[in-house]
Order: sequence, then C-alpha cells, then structure tokens
Amino acid sequence: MMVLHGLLMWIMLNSVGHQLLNVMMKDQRSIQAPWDALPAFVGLLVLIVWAQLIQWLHLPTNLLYLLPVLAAWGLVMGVLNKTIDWRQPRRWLMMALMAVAVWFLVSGMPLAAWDSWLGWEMKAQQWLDHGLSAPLHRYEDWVKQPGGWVNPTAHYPDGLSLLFYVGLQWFANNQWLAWVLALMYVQLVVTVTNHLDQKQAPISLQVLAGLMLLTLPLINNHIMMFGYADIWLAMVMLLVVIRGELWNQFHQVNDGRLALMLCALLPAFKAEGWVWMALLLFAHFFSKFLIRKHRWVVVLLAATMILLWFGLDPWAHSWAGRTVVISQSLIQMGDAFSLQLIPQDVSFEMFSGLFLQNNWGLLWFFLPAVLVVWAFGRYPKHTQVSQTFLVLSFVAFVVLFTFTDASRWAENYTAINRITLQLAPVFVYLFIATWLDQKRAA
Amino acid sequence: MQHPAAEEAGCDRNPDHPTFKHKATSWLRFLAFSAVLLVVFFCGLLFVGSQPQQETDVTRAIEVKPGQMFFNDDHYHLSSQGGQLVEYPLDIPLSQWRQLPHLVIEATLNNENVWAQVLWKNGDDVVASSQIKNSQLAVVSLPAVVKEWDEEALSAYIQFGPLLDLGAASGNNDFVYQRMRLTSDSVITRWQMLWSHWQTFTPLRASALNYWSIQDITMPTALWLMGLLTVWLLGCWFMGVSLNQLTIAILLLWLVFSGPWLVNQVNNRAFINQRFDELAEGINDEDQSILQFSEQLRAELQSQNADHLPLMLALRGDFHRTRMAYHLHDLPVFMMTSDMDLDVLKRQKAVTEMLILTSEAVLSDCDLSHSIFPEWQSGELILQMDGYCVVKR
Repeated sequence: MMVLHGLLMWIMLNSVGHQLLNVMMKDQRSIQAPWDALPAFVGLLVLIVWAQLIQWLHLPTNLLYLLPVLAAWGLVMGVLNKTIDWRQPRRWLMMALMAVAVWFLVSGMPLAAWDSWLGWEMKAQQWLDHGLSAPLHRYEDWVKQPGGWVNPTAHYPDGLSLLFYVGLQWFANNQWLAWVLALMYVQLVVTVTNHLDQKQAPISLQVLAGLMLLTLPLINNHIMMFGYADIWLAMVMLLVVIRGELWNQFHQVNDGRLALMLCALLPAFKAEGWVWMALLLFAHFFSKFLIRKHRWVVVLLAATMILLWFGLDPWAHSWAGRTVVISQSLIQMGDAFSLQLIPQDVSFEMFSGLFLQNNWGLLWFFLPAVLVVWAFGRYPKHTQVSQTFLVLSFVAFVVLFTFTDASRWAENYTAINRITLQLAPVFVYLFIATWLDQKRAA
Repeated sequence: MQHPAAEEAGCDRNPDHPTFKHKATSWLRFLAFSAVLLVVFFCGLLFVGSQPQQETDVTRAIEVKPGQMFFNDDHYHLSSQGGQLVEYPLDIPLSQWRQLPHLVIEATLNNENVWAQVLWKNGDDVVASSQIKNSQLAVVSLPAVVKEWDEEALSAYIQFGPLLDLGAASGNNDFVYQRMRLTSDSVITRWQMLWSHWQTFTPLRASALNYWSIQDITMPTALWLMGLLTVWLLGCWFMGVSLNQLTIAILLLWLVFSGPWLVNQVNNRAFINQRFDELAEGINDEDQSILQFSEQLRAELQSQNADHLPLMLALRGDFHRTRMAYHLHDLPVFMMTSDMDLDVLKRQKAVTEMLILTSEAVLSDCDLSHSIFPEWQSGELILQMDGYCVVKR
C-alpha cells in the first residue's frame, strides 16, 4: 500500500508541476524531457508554498485538497490533449530503469531517520493534533512561557515537515515519503543524463554520471533512511546549477525564472539554504564581472589577505560611536556586521569526512585534478558560474568549520558530512562536465 | 529532446573517424600509462618507508579476571558481560608498541553484532582510539597522537559492546579472536592492512547515522590514492586522451570501488525487508512495547483528565526517550534533565501540577521515597504499569 501512496503523491507533484510549467513555458514544452525532475520539484514548490500560506493565514486545511484536484485535472487534460505520449520508447525504457533504481534505493523500513522522527516528522504529527498553526517551541523556549508544545526543530524551516504533514492528512503513515524521495532522486539522475545528452555527451559519460549519482554511499543512506532535509537541499541545488547553466548559455528568460524559483526552495528546507542561495546568486554575478584571465589576480589577492590577516596585529578604529575591528578572533563593522571567530584545527575531521570514511566512494579524490583542470583549462563562459559556486561553497565550508563555533559539530562528523552531502551531487555533475566542457589550450 | 539552442553546445559526439591502428595505438598508450601509474601506486604504498618484518605475539596480553575469558574451538572468547560496553586493559608497553606500531588481530569472529576499538587513555581521559574492523584479519595502527605522546603512563584498552541497530542489540556480543600480534611497519603488514580495508567496506546498517561512519582507509593510503588519481587524470589531460577512453576507465574504476558497496546495499535491503516484514507498527520489539504503553498511558491520562498537563520524560537511553516522545506527540511532552527546578517550571508554565514519566530502571519499584531527586518525593504516584511509573507533582 505504501508504494501506491508514494506513487500517488509523486504523480500529484509531477502533474501539479506540469500545470505550472505549461502556463509558464507555453511555447517551450520541448525542454521537458521524459521523466525530467523539473515538474516534480516545481510541484514540490507549489505544495510547500500553498501549505505555508494556509499555515500563515490560518486558512482551512481542506484547501490542501485543491492540489490533488489540480493534479487530476492536469492528468485528464494531458490524456485528452495527447500531450502525454505513452508510445515513446525512451519513456518506457527510462521507466524500467527508474523502477530498478528505485527498488535499489528504497529499503522498506517502517520509519524515518531518528532525528526526523523526533523533529520534522513529529512537527507534522503535532500540527495534525493541535492545528497547522499550533505554537511549537524549542526546549529552551518552551520552559520560559506558558502553553505550547515542544519540538526540537521548531526553529527550522517548515518545508520538510509540511511535506510530511500533507501526506499524513491522507495516509496513515509516513512511508510514502521514502518512495517519493527515491523516485524524485532517480528523476534527478535522469535529468542529469538528459542534460548531458543535450550537450551531446557520449553515452558512456551519461552512464558514468548516472552510476556515480546512484552509488554514493551517504546519499543512498539518506534516501533509505528518509526524513533528513539535507538530501532535499542537495537535489534542489543540482537542479538550480543545471538550470542556471542553461540560463547562462542560452539566455532564455524561463530558465532564469526556473532557476530563481528552485532557489526559493532551498531555504524552505534548512537555514543553510539561505547561504547556498546567496552563494549561487553571488557566483552568478561574480562570474559575470570576472574575466577569466583575472583569476590568478583574485587568487593572489585572497592569499595576500589571508597572510596579512594571520600575520598582522589586531586592528581597531572607532569614530562617531562605530567601531571597526579586524583581528583573528573578531571581525566587526560597526553595528552592521559582527563575526566572532574561534579558530580550531579540524583539518583531520574534514579530511576524514571527505576521504577516509567510505561516504563518497572515490568522488572527492578527483577534486585536486578537477581544480587544476579548471584553473588551467579553457571553458565556455557559462560553465564558470557552477565552478565558481563550488569553489565559493568549499571556501565557505572551510571557513565555517575552521573559524566559527560550528567546529564543535565537526568533531563527530555530523555537520561536515551533512554539508558535504549537500554539495556532493553538484560536484558529481561538475566532475562530469569538467571533461565534457573543457577545451584544452593548444 | 534538444534544448532550443542545443546545437550550439559543447563537444562533437563524432568528431572524426580514426583508423583502427590509430585507435589501437591510442588505447595502448593510455593503458600503458595507467598501468605504470598503478604499479607506482602499489609500490609506493607498500615499499616507501617500510621496515623489515618483525613481530611479537600478544595473544594473551588482555588482562582478564577469572570467568571473563574462555577458550573454545581454537578461539578466545572475551565476555561482553551481558551485552554491555566493556573494556579490558591491554598489557602492552607503549615502548614496545612504538617499535611495532601495528596490532594485527586474526580471525575476529564478532562480525555483525559487536562494535570494538582500541583505546589509549591518560588516566580517565581518552587520548586516541582506533576501530577494530569486522574482518578475518583486523589491523589496528598506533595513532600518531599516541606515537608522539610523551607520557609513558599511557595505557591501552580493548573496548567493545553490542552494535546497536535501532536501539536494539542482537546475537552474541562476545569479542572472539584467534591470535593477536604486534608487527612492524613492513610490506607484509601494509599488504594485510590493504586487504583488510578491501574486505571491510563500511556496512550500511538499518540505523546507520550520517555521522556514524567507520574510517575505512588510512591517511597514507588516502594521500597515495589522491596523488595517483590526480597524476592519472592530469596525465590523461595532457596526453589528450579521448573522452571516451577516459570515461570508460573511470567507469571501470568506479565500478571496482563501488562493487562491494552495491552488493552490500542489496544484501542490506533484503535483511531490512526480512526484519521488518512482520512488524505492523513500531520499529522493533522494544519500540512495539513503547507504543503499546504510550497508548495505555494516553487513555489513562484522558480518563483522569490529566492529558493537558506537561509530561516530563525521565527515561534512560536515547532510543527509549525519543521513541516515547514520538509516540506521545499529541501531549505536551518534555525531556527532563536532572538539574530542572520543577516549581519554577510550574510557575513558568502557569500550571499547578505536572506529570513525570519514569521507569523502574530509574525509580526502583516506583517507590518515591527511594528517588535520588528530592523534588519527586513530594509527588504522588498515579500510575504503575509495565515497568513504568507516572508521578503527579
């Protein structure tokens, strides 16, 4: 039964997404290849935004039934207008491969991951018990005020919990989510191979991309132990990178709109989604203004700044009640910005998370070669956005764990492995694209 | 399906049609380059900085009291004392360990039920730890921090306990082995270490958490591997190896490394399906009992019109506490801590009474006079059921 529930939800997300995409891109349906993940993720965005609106405006939760109605309408119209062409062989072949991959990824466990059952899933259960707008508090907040219910993820964005909630409205348990997650992940793999096919990549490269994405141990782990938010961030980020690349290459407004819409999904799942969104936007603008031949100047400037920052004594200056401090323990710009720095040596933990544990197969072992090829190879301008994003993300990752309080989470690998997970699918795609896109200087 | 402007994109799928001879030469050149690098990699890993083979037997170096170890079927069985996390001192001087830095444990038969490691302690402080893999031949290397430790007082322990899967242990949790020896950093030891790594890719267990991963390869192996792959990829780039050749080589390499993992995942999937097939609700037997109790408790509290009161959970064990909180999600449940002032909390929450849910493991026989928390003694026991106690205060 849970397979059926999962399929129904997945079809609903895809159908709702298709409706919106058809409205947005009436003249460009051809860019949606069979089983592309884009409609499913747009449907997910619609679902989360709609549920969040119902929550914020205290609307009746019965309004959620508009989603299956819209999905059914879309399916009926699709069949009547024959826009769903079931005779395409590629569609059936991909469906068979997807079924095998999903079977491989879904474990059939009757539970979500442990911190999900205590956090995100329980939040959905509490909304069911006490209403979608019920006041939920963290432990430390709950003890300070009357009433309310405790939830350790009360301060987290509601995206994943709303997904649990919508399903729990209609089904008795949460296992449908395992199927939806696995189906959407496999759809994403199909999207990557479709995108590579559009770039005229050889079949072997498409197979390699699919295999790499389907055999990353920690990714598979998070799909089997469904209920973590990190895997959703990882999937959305890869879609944004692909859509952003298309936007930069072909300058179609719809690609840009879609990239921005998908970006909006990032903070719906986790707070660090804001950081990824900011880095994606920053990478875009940075790449627009940075001419490739200046890259060594940028690296030199960054290295000089780091050396000065480590080498020089703390510097502070005050005027008109504002203070600017630049030291190894504090960076402060008046009242506008203040960052307490707590340098910690967590290099072993970072190295271990990437290379010593069997979380990523050989994936990150390719990183040094990829960075060298990026630095010395020649690439089309549109591919530099994604490359810049990965470099910026890695710098942010290193700064976060080396200089902030987050280093305490590094010690048991919790945060390091999760953030690496969020970046891993993007790196798989960029690794593949590195060899496809590069045109070595003669 | 093509993007509207896909024609403008990337590489040519069929740039030209090279002759068979050209193709064969190109493949041979590529294979020769890859083979040379592979040989350099293995030689470097095995020979660079290695020492002559030396070893000493430390099979009986574990300090045990009568009844803690027995010998059966050619194997030593170290007792888990009823499935707890236990540790036994290792009588191996640090000076000896520094000379022979690898501890090789042969025929460990603890397999899937036991989690084991070697600990180095300075007094009560753990200085370093190194996991013992579930392998027929486990190699534990002396950590760098211990090598450089200047105190000879550092003592080593073997620590093991049941490998909990979703809060539950299974099978026999004794640590079973045949022989232990200290060896030098020789070619043989390095080869055994590599073989052990190969055989023990991290198994994915049902409750494998994202941060709970076994370190699978050592730092030198990782650095050599990274160096090899970097030189190989850059070499291919400079040699102008075709995309197809490179892709096929990476594909094969990836398959070799992910093969054990793929097999493991399929096996694990079958194991999970078999394990949970007969459970209608609940994760395992323990969770089933928690679920049943939570339903009874809810009904009881509703009959006493007390289901609106804050319910403080004072239970042992993360699994127990979190699953109880989950099953009682419709009640105002809170994880209690030992330093909590209940009177202050009652004022904050604007209630005159609150409930404490604990177990007989915490409160023997649910006898409030035996409570280690003085605040509880002024409470009233309103429910005693299935090993749980509910106190109203």
